Amino acid sequence: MKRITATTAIVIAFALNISATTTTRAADSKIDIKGSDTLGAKLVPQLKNAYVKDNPSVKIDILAQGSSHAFSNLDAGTADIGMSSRKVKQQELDKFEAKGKALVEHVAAWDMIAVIVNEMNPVRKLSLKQIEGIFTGTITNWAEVGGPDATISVYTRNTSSGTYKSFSKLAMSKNDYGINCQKLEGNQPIVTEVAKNANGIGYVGYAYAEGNHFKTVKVEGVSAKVSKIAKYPLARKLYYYTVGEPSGHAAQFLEWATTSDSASQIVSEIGFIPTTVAQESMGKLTK
Amino acid sequence: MQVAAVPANKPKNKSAPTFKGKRGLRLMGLNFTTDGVVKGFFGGNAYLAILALLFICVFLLKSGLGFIPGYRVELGEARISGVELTNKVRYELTGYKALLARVNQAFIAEKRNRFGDEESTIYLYEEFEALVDDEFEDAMETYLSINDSPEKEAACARLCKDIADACNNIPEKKLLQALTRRLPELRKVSTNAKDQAIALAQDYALNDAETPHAVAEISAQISKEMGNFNTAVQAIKSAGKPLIQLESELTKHTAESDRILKLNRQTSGSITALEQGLKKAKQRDEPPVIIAAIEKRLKKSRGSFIEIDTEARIKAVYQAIENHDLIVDTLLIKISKAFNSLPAELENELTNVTIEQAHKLNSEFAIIVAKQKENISAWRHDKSITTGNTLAAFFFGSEWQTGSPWQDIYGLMPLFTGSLLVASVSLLFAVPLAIGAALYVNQFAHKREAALVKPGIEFIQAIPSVVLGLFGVLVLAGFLKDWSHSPLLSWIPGFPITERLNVLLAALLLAFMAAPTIFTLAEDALNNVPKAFTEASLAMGATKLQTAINVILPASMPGIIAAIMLGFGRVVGETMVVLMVAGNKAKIPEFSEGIGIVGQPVHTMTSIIAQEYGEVTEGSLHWQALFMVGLVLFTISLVINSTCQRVLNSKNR
Amino acid sequence: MHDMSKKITALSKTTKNREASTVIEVDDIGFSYDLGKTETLKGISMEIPKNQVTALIGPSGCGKSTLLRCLNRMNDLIDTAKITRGAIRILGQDIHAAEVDAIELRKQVGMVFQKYNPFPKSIYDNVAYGLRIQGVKKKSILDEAVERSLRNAALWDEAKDRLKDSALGLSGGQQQRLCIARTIAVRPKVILMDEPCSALDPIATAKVEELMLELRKEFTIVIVTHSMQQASRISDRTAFFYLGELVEYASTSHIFTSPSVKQTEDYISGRFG
Repeated sequence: MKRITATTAIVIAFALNISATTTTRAADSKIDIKGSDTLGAKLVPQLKNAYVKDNPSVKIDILAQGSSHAFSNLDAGTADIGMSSRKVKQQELDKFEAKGKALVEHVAAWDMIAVIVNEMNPVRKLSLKQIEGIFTGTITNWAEVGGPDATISVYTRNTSSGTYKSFSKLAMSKNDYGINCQKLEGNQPIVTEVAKNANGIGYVGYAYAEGNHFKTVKVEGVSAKVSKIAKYPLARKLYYYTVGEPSGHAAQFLEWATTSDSASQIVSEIGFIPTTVAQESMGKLTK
Repeated sequence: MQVAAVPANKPKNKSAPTFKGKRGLRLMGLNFTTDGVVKGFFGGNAYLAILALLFICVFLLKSGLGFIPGYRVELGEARISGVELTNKVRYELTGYKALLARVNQAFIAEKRNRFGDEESTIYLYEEFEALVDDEFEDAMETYLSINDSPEKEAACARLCKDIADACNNIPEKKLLQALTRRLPELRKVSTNAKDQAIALAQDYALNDAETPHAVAEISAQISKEMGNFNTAVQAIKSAGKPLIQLESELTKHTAESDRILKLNRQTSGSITALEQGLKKAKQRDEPPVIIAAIEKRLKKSRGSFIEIDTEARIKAVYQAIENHDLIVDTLLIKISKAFNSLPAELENELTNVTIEQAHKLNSEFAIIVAKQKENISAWRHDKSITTGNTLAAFFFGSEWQTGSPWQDIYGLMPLFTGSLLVASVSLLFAVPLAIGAALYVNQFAHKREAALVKPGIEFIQAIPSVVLGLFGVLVLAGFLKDWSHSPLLSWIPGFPITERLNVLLAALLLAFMAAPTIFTLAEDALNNVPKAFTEASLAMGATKLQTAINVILPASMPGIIAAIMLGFGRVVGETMVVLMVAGNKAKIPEFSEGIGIVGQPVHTMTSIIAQEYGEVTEGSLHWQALFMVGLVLFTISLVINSTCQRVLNSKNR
Repeated sequence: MHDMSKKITALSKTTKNREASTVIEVDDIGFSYDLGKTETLKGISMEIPKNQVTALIGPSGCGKSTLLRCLNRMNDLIDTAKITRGAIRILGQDIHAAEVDAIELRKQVGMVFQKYNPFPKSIYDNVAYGLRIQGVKKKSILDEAVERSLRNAALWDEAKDRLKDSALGLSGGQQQRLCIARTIAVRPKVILMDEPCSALDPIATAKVEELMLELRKEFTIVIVTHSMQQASRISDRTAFFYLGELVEYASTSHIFTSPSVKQTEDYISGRFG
């Protein structure tokens, strides 16, 4: 008799456990954030640290493998919030619509894609046309853009990166990258290579634009500075995406991350431009 | 359970031995002895491994082979829409643009040689502009915010003076440095140029960071004074306009057609899926709300199907292409004329060299044009693409372009040659190292030496590949590049190396990784040579070295070859290291450089999978293409391993 | 088979009474396998005459193979081997002298092993090996040497049509003869044979024994054998070893008909062994 009771107890416990773990995501005080490396490398982890300090019951998991992963994970239900350094593609949007789900976009911050060259390179500014020429492979020598007589070493991100696509759209009129481009894994490898190669050129997010042995060039006469964001041609928005309007802990986190002062401060410290600042600057332009 | 029936008349003899086997647990009609269970467990594990292998094979094949029909459809669309034709014209345009760029470079070199002073002004101005940007932003804002006239004048004078002072304070050495990068002959900074530049910088500051027109005017003036050279360059530039126009016209027509075809293909796909879903829902008797929703989506999809008349559209393309031959022929003539109008021998060495290169590019361009003229006239939009074409396009395609807004091209050649090159060069280093070490440890080293060296080399295998990759990127890449610049090593072809991440770097690290594998197997093979051979050879008065080289090495050859092949297989399959240090340039390396080819960056089959897997959506053509690449790698490993087995078995004749 | 043995007996008789000069002088040699802790050879002294077959016999572990391997310094290959006393002089030279190179010694003192060990090369390459490692490259010289050696080893007729074939395709007896041909190709002064027929069948054995009797016309042969009958068949002088000591050393006929030491007689008559 005792044996049977014990076994039944164990079985019931198992069943309860299983049912417990199949509750909806919103009920969990865990937020899964997945997607872009640009957002997920430094910014969102820092936001998480600050948020969790004030809200210790919330657990946040971050996985940054590339903007494409945001959408695949949102679709599969394995993420609450998706981080993306580019707008969602029509193809990806279709997938959501086919399942009857709505994808909601939130602006996380603004970023400027800085074009960097080695500190020894005397070139200080490039036009969009010249940048397009360099990255599509039409311009191969620094002399053609006012630099020394040397072959240009072009470093780019790889096809998983949202920055790769944003750059193609903003700076290359959506043309293909030239076959002479060397594809590197992230912002930091590009910084490393440009800093060590006198003839190197690459592009990085604004957060990586300050450093040793390299400098940013002006694009169309506009430097990559926060004050110039309104005029800078390679400015882009970074996004959070959710399936439908967010709710529960995810909603609270997003609200805090996109509007609060403390979050804005973190955004600036990391090297992005908080939405509030960007809007202010845009406002100045239209005045 | 059966008990042996004991016949009644025979007495039971307890001491007589029987030969009956032990009975185990009987379950489901089978006999489970302990021995049997253990054997079954081991056997089961072995078969499990084989099953897993088969599963991987089947999955690879399924995913990968679906690529061929899919790619065929895409190539077919590219043909029907005319994108294929546009690509031919684009190819010509690339040749022309390279030629133009080279001529431009010659022009710039000559310009810098002749007009050093004026060029200095422009370069100095750029330095001063940067200075103003860095240090005078606030001052500029303040100045601009002042509305009052006399105050403004005072502020203007103050600002100008500050700027002039700041510019003059820059050490001459620093300015000279910036100048000599472009004007290598320059010895000192011209005061005239400097003053002009300062004036321009002041202009810039006063006009809210607008580059003064005067700068562009100086450039224009220089160009004018270059006379014939300038005319020639301009002529070549304008000569290309019809070709550029042709290309953009073709692009316009064909991109739209291609887009619609792709969209329709997608729509058909979703229509089929929805129809299937509807059927299933009806079968399962789903509530009418859901069925209505599906039917609504189906109707919407059907409606989004775009009617396209490919024939009519392609007519426009054929029309546009009619002028092609005329355009390119005229272009070639005009380029020739321009080249002829160039001054014959110019002073500047660099200019001459560059013009020579431009001439070479011109002849290459002429060849490209001739070939493309043939291809274009033979092109038909309705010739169907066969599976053979698709396979050729994949295996022999010379370009790998994905995530492209224009056309995704999946060509294996750049990746294949990259993998092969890196693997071969790394074996070039690894094999002598490993075989030599194996010979030494096995034949010549004392026991104590061997006890130190052997584990040491084998320990290298324990180093994670990502750690080696890190070492390569942060330490070895710099070393290699710096050493290659040393004058002592300039006799090596391909030195000095210009790219930090290249084949040589990857090969060195991979050699380091492969050496222990080859070493271990080679040493085993050497060990397995019967001692009798060694004895016989030594007894004949051979030295240990002679014995090692003439008897032991040849006798262990099958094992050593197997070792090398396995090392090769290991290297071909290495991903992390090549991803970090090989440079990832998806282009077939230039074999024309001879040995210098090792200084070029390459992309390998393994690293392309690692790099692009994050981007692909499941089931897409790109996804399948990556599986195809994986299949190729798998096949290479299979071939290497089975050849290894055969080589090893052949010696046991 | 019967003819063979007759032949061998006939051959051996004809050379038993030749004048001999000493080629190898073993002078109170002591040898140890463990750096001197225990002695395997306890002071052996004997003189081996030129152009004769000298057999070393005795039960297992008596040191006969050890002594043989000392003669061409093959024991040098063992780390812990040590000459504890005495000297070995071949052609008047102390082979353990500082200026003596074991490699050069072995070119003059060849060895044929118990288990035939031709290299996994062709027959030609096997026989030519010794000359090649001494630097001989000219094909004509090598061809001539190969033919001569194979003839002298009674293998030429069987091998001449397949010189390029692998040596491992030959029968056991042929392979041993090939090893002999290989050894004699470099014309050493002495040939050491360590139980050369123990892995061969009787017919092959007979052929090799016949060969040895022919070879002694040109070479000095020292053979270790487990078979007393073989020793009595082919050797001119026999040395009987027991537990590391040389018990008796005399002409073969003397040893086998009227041994001086009782131990020898006991061994020969099979009372122990």
